[in-house]
Amino acid sequence: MADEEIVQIELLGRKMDVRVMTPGQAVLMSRFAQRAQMQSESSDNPAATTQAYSQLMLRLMNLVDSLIVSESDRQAVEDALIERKLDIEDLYVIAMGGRRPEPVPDDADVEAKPKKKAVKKTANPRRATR
Amino acid sequence: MRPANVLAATRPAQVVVTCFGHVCELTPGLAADWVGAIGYDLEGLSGVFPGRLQEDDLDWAWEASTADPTDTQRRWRNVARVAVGRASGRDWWWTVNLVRKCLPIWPYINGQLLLHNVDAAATPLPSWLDAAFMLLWTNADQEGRTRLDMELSMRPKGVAVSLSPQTTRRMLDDFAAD
Repeated sequence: MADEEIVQIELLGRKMDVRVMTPGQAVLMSRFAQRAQMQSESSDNPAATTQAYSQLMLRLMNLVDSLIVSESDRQAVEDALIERKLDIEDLYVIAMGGRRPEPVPDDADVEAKPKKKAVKKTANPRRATR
Repeated sequence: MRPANVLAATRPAQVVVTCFGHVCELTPGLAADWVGAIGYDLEGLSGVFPGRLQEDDLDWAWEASTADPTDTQRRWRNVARVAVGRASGRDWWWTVNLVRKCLPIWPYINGQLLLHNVDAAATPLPSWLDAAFMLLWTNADQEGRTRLDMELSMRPKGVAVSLSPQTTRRMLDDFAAD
């Protein structure tokens, strides 16, 4: 593949080279996540919800598989998934090139910081006496 | 078949594109939907394609994207450009340039247009573009209008557009007439 961007991330105690997800893939992943959430909200059937989320997980695994450069890293991630050492959030971290989602700030904590008092600069005494 | 209406081609009810031989009808939407989708990724237009794909086409798009991500990204960008051109009834770069110009001053543009009863959430994209362009154009002086026209007609760097034989012939005819 030409023009691919590769970043190094740290996961499972090892450094991994990971291709950066394309903007189109990012858009599709968010659409799938949206779909899973909508299905889970609109359905009272827990089986349908589980199915929607396992489909999302499968796609994410599929994506991560195509993004990890080295075969040994890929194997390590697969093993960790089987042993349940990794979850859906860790897969997102790999797909996002190592970036963890930022915690959503509590709106109640958002307030303007008081302005710092401007400190008056004193003139250079040496220049002032010249 | 060509509709017996000269505005029909520039005011399409549906936007249909073909990619990897797959025909997709994009999610219909009004100006606010399209401007938002274009503004999401002004360079790659991924908010338009695959962003405005309908639910039924998502799985197909996913398969294509994992097969060869780089080539897919390039082809999707091309499809997105065609889609913007079809949705707006203009050159895609003109539309993208106008959206790029409007987004940073959205409260001003949208506010002015709302005062004239042009609501982006209730107006088709081509009409909204007409209104936004005229707002900028009428509020500019002669020099500003020339600059605006140039700014909007400027193609992004490295973009070459192949002209159809009909367009080339028409341009040659115009040249000969001049």
